[in-house]
Amino acid sequence: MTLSDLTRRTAFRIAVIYAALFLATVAAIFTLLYHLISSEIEAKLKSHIVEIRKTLVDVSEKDGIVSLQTVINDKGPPGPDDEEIFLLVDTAGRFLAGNIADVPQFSGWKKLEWEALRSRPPSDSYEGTDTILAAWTPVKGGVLLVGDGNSDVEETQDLLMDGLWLGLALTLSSALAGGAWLGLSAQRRIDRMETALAAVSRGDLSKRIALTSTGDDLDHVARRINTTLDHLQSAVVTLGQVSTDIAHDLKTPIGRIRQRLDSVSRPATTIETYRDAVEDVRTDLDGVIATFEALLRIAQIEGGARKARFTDVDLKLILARLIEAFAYVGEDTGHRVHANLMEGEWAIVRGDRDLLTQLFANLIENSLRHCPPGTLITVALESVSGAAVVSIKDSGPGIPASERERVFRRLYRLEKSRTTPGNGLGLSLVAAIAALHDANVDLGDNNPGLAVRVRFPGPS
Amino acid sequence: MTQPRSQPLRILVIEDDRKTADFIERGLKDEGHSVDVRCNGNDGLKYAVAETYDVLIVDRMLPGLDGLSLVKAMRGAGVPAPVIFLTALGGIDDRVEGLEAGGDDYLVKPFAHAELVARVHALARRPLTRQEATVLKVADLEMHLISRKVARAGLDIDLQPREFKLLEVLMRNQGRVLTRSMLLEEVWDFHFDPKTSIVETHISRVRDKVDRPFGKALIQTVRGAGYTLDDAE
Repeated sequence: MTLSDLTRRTAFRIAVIYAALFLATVAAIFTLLYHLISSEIEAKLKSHIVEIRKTLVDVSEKDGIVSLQTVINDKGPPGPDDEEIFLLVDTAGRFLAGNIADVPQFSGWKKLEWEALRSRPPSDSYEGTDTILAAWTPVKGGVLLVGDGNSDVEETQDLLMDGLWLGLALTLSSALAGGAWLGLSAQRRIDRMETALAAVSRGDLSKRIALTSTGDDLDHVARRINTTLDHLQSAVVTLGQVSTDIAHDLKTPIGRIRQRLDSVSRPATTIETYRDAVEDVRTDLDGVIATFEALLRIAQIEGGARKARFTDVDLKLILARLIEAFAYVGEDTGHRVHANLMEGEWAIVRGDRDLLTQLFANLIENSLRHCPPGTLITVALESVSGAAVVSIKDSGPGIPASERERVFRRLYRLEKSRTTPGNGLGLSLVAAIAALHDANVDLGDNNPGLAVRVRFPGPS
Repeated sequence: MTQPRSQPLRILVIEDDRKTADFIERGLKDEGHSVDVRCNGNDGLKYAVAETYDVLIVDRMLPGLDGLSLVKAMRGAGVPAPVIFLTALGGIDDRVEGLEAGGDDYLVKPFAHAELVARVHALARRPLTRQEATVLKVADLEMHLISRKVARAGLDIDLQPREFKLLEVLMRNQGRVLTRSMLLEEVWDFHFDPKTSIVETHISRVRDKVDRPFGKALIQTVRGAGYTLDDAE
């Protein structure tokens, strides 16, 4: 990952933006504190100066300007411990007393720079670095300047500024470090996803994204991607298997047709053999067409084609009609078809009557075809917590548990049923129709035999 | 063909695939019918409206005007002739859509010649206004539709409801061949191809009751096509 890569990463950008926001907030808080504390300390300094001034004004009121002159002359030059300054001038602005040299008059408070003040008597030992806060006030017979060092305020301000820089530095480093850590760990996981997906797009469909134990949103996305990949993989596998199976299944009848045509195209064939051959070829071709028809039908049903035409359908009616239709078939093949259809109840589901009829017909025919004569086939309709469940059970050979998933695959046939008629699409069609109806098909053991349960969605 | 001859019909075939059109035309002419072939929708509609036909065979996918729109327009123009739609393999909504557009039957390509002929005959002779007979009669076989009683040579025959329906469909179509899939649709309302012998087992039950005890068989098997009920001489 190069630097320009890093700056493009979402996590990194978020970290930087958050760091900037943090810094701005901290700076704002400090600025506010700086001003509040500074003005508080300055207010205290002013009241101190006003107090001193009041004493001096009192002296001039009581004892006259000369006494004040004496008092001020007693004050020493400003030094590190005592930065108070005094300057008394007469109404004409001439120097009367003070520990600093001339300062032009001004109104209100003013911050005086040390450089602008010359102490009187001159003192070389002390060069204050602070400013002096001072104000002129009229006294009887003159004007008096009183001021004091601003050092407390400035010290506090310096302290605050130090705190601010330290705070900013801490905030910045922790925000950047935290952001980088978050960004990098998210980045590592996103990179893992990228790597996995890249592998998939190169053809390794078995690749999955490793999950962490946190179960956070990235894990959620990863799990979703993994599920999608599972589906993709099984779809691709099915597709491959289906094309192979179609090729296998159709090669046999087409090969047979070819042989049959070859054999009758030899000279000296009678009209009779020719006619028989045509009949055989027709039967084989009908089988091929039926297989294609079923494959296309399954594809259309899986595409949700009929859903727009769903109506309320009574399962009981469908099953009753089917059982009636198959009763004679069963008698002729030596099977007993028994029904148990919840007398007096309704079982209405949203669906397509023709497709549902075909679904149950396929299941019943499946039992008829694969069970030995004498087997009892039970068709039952029940309501399980409001949801309609149709079960078709027989005591025939059943389907081994290991094969139960596979029998829904297109053209898949159990080894032992290779010789019985059927194209291996009956159960695929059942699965497709059930899925269209959001119904769940479950193949179970009837001990012995097969128990198929079709569970429709319950009332929502 | 062992199918009985029928009166000549005027049939319009609207189909753009040359080979299919030839196959249909030849087959129907062999049966003694007169056949016009049009190979696009607009042309077909003109013929359908201008001429009078007994049956129309319309492909759903046509250049120009498609089959469904053609039949809708034709019905709009007041043409009552029965229509058989031809549809491509596996179109599971085709039957319903065809019926909604004003079609009377449908056939999935590729189809057997016998299937087409049987369906054409069944449609062509269907009375336009259904006059409900209350008694169906073929030779000495009588069916009372209201009391749901069947008797042959004066002897009552006890039929299961579905056997009754099967016999009724056969009697209503006296002399016409009904294919296995036509019977599945008419008698059971099954629009798919069962892998077991539902039709055969029921026909055999009905024969056991209606034909066997009376010596003369009314229900005939037409090889490669289906079944017919007639007073064969």
